[in-house]
Amino acid sequence: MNIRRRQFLSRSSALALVAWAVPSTLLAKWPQAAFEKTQLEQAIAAVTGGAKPTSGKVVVSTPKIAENGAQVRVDAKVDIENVEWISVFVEKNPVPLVAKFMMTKSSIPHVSTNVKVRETSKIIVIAKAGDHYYSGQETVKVTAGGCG
Amino acid sequence: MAKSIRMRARAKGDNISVKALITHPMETGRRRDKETDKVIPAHFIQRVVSEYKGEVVFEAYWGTGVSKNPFVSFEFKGGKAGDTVKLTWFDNTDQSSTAATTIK
Repeated sequence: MNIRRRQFLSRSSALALVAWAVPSTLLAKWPQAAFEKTQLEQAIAAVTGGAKPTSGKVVVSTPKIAENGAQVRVDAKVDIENVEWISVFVEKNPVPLVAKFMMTKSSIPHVSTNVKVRETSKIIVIAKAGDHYYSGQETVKVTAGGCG
Repeated sequence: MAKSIRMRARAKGDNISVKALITHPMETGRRRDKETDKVIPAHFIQRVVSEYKGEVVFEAYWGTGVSKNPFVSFEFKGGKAGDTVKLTWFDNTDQSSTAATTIK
């Protein structure tokens, strides 16, 4: 089988698995389109509607080197009022969008979670406040890959 | 899943900081079982929500890139020590689990 055909089949079956696996009650809220994007720029565009974020106001803390790419702590803090959401991307993951944190009127825009980093990547965090998008990033060097 | 969430919540004035460790395989659906060579189906938390006094104070949508047995932490304002905060996760197989803790 030629390599393109093989790649196409394996990518579309991975997508089919994700699409099939989402129960209908969550379907309306879970940002499926964004979670289906396999390229970083497309994933970012899916959450910003194509708008380009301004760099700044988002402080991303990650380890510089991760020996275990399966558990990388990412801490994101946003220095603006009225943050609507905070999205975390891992540049070279098969699905770059990792998490979208929705802020409520009580939320303080500071979140932290562990993510999988398959290979050395930029970790990009984008925050939406009003009509503007802000971004911050850090690079994590991985010495052992993330998915097991 | 019983007892799949360990959480604690701390008050600093009326800012509440919540940290939780959730037990969940967070399977991506891209791994193969080494023995059967079959793809292990995707099984991952899609939504996490936290409630305080009946209001949602935190909500997250996750994909397969969040780690296995994920850690999460978040903060909200307007809470006080002695009150209860709840955390619930929902996954792609329609399972869910809830835990609650007293803010210290």
